[in-house]
Amino acid sequence: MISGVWYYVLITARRQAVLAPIVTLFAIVGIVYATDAGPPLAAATVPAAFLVPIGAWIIRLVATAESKPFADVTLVALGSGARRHVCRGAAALIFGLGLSTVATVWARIANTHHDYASGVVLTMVVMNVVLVIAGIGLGSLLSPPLRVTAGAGALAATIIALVSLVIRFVPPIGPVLDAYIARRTSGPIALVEATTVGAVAFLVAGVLGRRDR
Amino acid sequence: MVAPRAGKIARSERVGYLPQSSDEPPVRLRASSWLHLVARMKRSDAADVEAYARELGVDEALSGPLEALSVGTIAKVLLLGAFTASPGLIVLDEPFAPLDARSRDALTAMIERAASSGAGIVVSSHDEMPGLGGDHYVLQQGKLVPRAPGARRWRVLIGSSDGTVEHVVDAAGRDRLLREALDAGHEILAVEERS
Repeated sequence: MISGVWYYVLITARRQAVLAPIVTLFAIVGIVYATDAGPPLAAATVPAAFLVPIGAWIIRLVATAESKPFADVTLVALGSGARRHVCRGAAALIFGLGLSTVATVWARIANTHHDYASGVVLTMVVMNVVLVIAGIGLGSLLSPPLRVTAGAGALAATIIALVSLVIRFVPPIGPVLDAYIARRTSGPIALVEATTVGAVAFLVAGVLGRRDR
Repeated sequence: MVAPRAGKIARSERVGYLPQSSDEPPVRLRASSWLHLVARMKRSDAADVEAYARELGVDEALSGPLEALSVGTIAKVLLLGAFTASPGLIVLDEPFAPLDARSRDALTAMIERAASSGAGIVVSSHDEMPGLGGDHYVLQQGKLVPRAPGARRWRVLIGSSDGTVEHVVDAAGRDRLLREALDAGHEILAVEERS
C-alpha cells in the first residue's frame, strides 16, 4: 500500500498540471495576507475554504495521472479497486498536507500584527487539513474510475463550494466560516461535520468505483 | 476490466497483468522506477527482471523515461511489469502482438521458464501459439473448448493458370503457402478456418 501511495505521489508530482492548484493556493494566500488580514482564525478561513475545491482538483489530478493500460496494471498490482482508491486518496492527502502547511506558515509569517498562540496555529492546521480532506472526498466522487468529465467535475466542485459558501449551514465550508468568522456555531462541530462529509463522500466514491472501474 | 458475474476467485498473492498494447501515453517515470514500484506493490523482489529485460533487448531502455520510449518498447516494459509477479499468477493479454520475431521467441522462453518455476500463466491471443506448452483453449460462442496447440486448420484455395488447388494446413503452413503462392503470381481465392 505504501508503495502504491508513493507511486501516485510521484506520477502526479511529475505532471505539469499539478502546478495549477498549487499556484492557485499561493495566489489566494498571497492576496489574503498582502495587508493586515485581521484576526488569525477569521483570516485563515479564506484559504481553508479554497482548500475544498483545491483538494477536489488534486484528487482528480491523481486519479487521471495514468492512462488506462497503466491504471489497469496498478489495479492488479495493488489487488483491488478499494486499495487503489485508498492509495489515490492518501497521495492526494500528502499534497493537501503540504498546501495546508504552506497556508499556515504563510499566515504566521505574513500576518505580523496579530498574536499566533500555539492553540491558534493548531486550530488553523486542523481547519486546513479538515477542509482539504472534505475536498478530496468530494473530488473522489468526480474522478476516475467514476465517469465524470473534467468540465462536469470542475462545474460540480464549483457548485458544491458555492452552495456551501452561500447557504451557511451546508457543510463543509459554511459552518466553518460561521464558526470562525461570525462565531455563531461551534468550531469543533463544524470541523467534525466537514470531516464527515469528506469521509462519507470518499467511501461512497469507493463503493461506486467498484461497480464502475 | 469486466466485473465477474459469477463464481469466486481465489487470489494469488502476486498477480501480474499485461493489458493489450495501446498507444496511450505512459506515466511520467523512468522505466526502471516504474518496474521497481510495481514490483513493490506486489511485494516482489523482481529478481529476474534484469535477465528478462536482456532477453527482450530492453535492458538499456530501462534507465530512460517511459515517455521517451517507442510503443513497442513500452509494451515490453509492461510485459516485464507482469513478470515481476513470478512465481505468482501472470495474465497476458495479446502479449505477442506488438513484438518482433526475436522478441516473440524470447517471450515464449520466458513464459516456459516462469511456468517451470511455479508461476501460473494465462495467455490470451488471437494467434496460434504452437511453441507454448500447457493447456490450450479456443473461445467458441462464449465457451472455452480445449484444443491441442497447432490444431487449428485452414482451407486455402489457390487459383492458377493450371486450375484451382485446395490445401488444408496449420497456421504456419498457411502463412508459408500464401507467401509462396503470391510469389509465384497465383491468385488466392479463399482462406477460411475449418470448423
